[in-house]
Amino acid sequence: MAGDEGVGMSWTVAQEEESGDIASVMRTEKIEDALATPYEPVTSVAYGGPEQVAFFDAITKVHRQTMGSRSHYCVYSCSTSSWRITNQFANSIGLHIMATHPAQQGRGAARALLQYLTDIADENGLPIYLEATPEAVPVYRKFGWLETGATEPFPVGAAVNPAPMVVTMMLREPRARDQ
Amino acid sequence: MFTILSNFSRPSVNAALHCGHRDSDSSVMIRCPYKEARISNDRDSRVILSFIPPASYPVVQKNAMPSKSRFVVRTATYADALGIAKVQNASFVHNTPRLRPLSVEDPEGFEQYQVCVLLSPKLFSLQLRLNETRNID
Repeated sequence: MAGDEGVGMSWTVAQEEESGDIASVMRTEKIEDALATPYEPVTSVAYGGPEQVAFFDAITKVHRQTMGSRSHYCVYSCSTSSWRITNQFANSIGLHIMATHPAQQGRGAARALLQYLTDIADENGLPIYLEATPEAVPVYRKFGWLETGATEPFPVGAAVNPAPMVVTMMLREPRARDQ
Repeated sequence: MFTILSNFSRPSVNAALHCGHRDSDSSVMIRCPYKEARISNDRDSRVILSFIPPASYPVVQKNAMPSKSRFVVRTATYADALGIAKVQNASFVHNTPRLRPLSVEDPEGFEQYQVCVLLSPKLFSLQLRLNETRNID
């Protein structure tokens, strides 16, 4: 089922050692071949209209074009402003694919998750693809992600989000363990 | 507190405010954090929701210097469903006013919120179950 969103996903959590509380969560997917399944246009979303359909269709195509048949990890990361409609769960959504509890922000929980993921990716020699909100881009850069050059405007509507928000596609190549 | 004006019917709003979700296949309970909310109707019979975010979600100021904590990173299990849902919903409450202010002009925003609360637990459940089935570590 490689390439089918929702099938190969898993959740990782950062749990505060002292309290045992889950502070940050991350959903990732290992995709062996993004082209293993034929492209199917996104025709409907659980919310919104044609603009939202076009957005999800566009980022799906960019993902396929960028990664092709290359095995990789994927973080659906468009945190607070993006919902990923999965092919497998047409009526379900993924929200806050990487999220930190507000009370735990700034304490290193999300950093711990990213370190965990990048370590695994490096061990396996796999790249990590993601779609980032503007404020998340610098964070991912620190962990080695680079912009692929592809962006997509997120159709939230001017009345809702006066400042246009653009989702940036980023890719992190694996590093040798001694780097 | 923030207020949402919506054209949604009262039953759907009541569903959105449902504070307990029980997966029929398990005993895991996932709760919505909005235990305090007021429902009323305006003159056009539209539903008005006034949410009061729980006091247990303190806002961390940007210029604050919170102490660093130690975290254990691990693959989630089905038993973590509640904890994951809490983090996601709390993060949504915290970030939405900044990024996507839900207001009287934004019924679509409410719809998205509603969908996230109602549907995401099902997604969590299924994916976490997959995690355990595959014994991912």
